[in-house]
Amino acid sequence: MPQSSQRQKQGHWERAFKANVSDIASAASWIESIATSAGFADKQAFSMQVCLEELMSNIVRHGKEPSGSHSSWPSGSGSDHLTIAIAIDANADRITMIVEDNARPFDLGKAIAKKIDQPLDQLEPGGLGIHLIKSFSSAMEYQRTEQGNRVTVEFNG
Amino acid sequence: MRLSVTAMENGITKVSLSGRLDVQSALEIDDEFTKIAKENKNLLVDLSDVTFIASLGIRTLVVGAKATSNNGGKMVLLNPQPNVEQVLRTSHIDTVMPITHDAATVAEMFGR
Repeated sequence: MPQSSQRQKQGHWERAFKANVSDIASAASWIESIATSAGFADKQAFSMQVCLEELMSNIVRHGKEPSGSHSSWPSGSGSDHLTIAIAIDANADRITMIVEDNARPFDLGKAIAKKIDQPLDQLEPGGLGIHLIKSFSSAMEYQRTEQGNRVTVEFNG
Repeated sequence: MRLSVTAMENGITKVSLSGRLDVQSALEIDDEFTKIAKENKNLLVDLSDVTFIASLGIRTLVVGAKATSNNGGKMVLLNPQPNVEQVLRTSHIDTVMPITHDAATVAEMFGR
């Protein structure tokens, strides 16, 4: 892994993935290889992977369903007609990651950031993703687009 | 992700996980992990070799902890790496299952 004292390279990277479980793993590997080649600090690279996994799994799980309904994980690998485009920009003191999809509208900024705050016997497992995104990024912004959703997350150096 | 089970002394069962506990792995090990949790009252989950976790992985641990609790037992997390521990503590999972780096005190944590 790169040393945190190493100067981070500037750059722009982008790639599109399908909204399925195996592409979440592919996207994580892609981020890891960028982090290694660009010299991102270990902490930044890890935070980016946490946020990306939460954003992508949210699209895979909820992107297709009608608004307001609940869904479990798709029994297949996901929704191949949904596309997730990821763009990463790095400069000396900040990394910006933009995740765009063509899924149904979902305003992440207004979603409830749940954390574990109940005893085990009353706890409903799951739903921690928004809390983790907000905790592991330095800023998050949501925009509705013509095709779907755009979420911009920033990571300070 | 690899999962191995070891019977320890004092009725404690150790489950060692290794690799990334990401969405794919969590979905893969969910059934097996829950089955182990249902069949063993006191579960020590060794996270030493887990390099990544996010909300789905935490969900797997919570489902297991609920299963041990329903049996009157307990789940304890052992030796998470710093990044993994930050995810766990940020989620406040340590309020429902203890995290320890001291294997010597594990039996005591289970009341043994």
